[in-house]
Amino acid sequence: MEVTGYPDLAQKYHVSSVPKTVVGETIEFVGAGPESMLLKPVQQAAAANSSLIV
Amino acid sequence: MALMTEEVAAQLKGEFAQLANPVRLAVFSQALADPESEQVRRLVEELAGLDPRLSVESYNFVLDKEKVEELGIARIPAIAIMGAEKDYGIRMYGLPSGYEFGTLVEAILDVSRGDSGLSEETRAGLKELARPVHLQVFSTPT
Repeated sequence: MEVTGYPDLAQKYHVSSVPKTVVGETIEFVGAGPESMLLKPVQQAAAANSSLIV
Repeated sequence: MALMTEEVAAQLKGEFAQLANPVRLAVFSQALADPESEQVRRLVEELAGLDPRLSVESYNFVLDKEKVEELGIARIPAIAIMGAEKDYGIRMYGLPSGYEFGTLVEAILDVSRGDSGLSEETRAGLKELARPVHLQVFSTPT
């Protein structure tokens, strides 16, 4: 998502530096890294969702 | 007038020579509300013209409501990068310029391969997920 044209999203997800990744709306981090860095947040997001959605 | 230079087009043709399977590109624009989105539509159409395994479907964000809903398009300009049979859920929003143009080409090649290139360890971890997870990566033009 190229965020320049979407200031509302930049504001909503507090995008000040890039690349910024938002996982499942609530978990976020800045910067690039190995895929192992991404797996945990994805697992957390899936687990968080399952407790929220009934 | 072409958006891509002949040099870039030739280079991309070389890249697309390694396409394994067909890739469908659905591009959503709306000239009235967002003239810039028309540029993206033209770019994707030009891109798809470089290889017979690439196809493009152009949609109007306002008029083609059914398609917008089916593919879960939230805003424009948007590009959905899909396999012939399978939609992996890959969407690109905004202008695919600079570094992001490379990201678009990479996404096309990945979808064509039908393989994410992820490690066995990551795949094993992802298999256990209880439900779909929405991932959004934000970038700015470079």
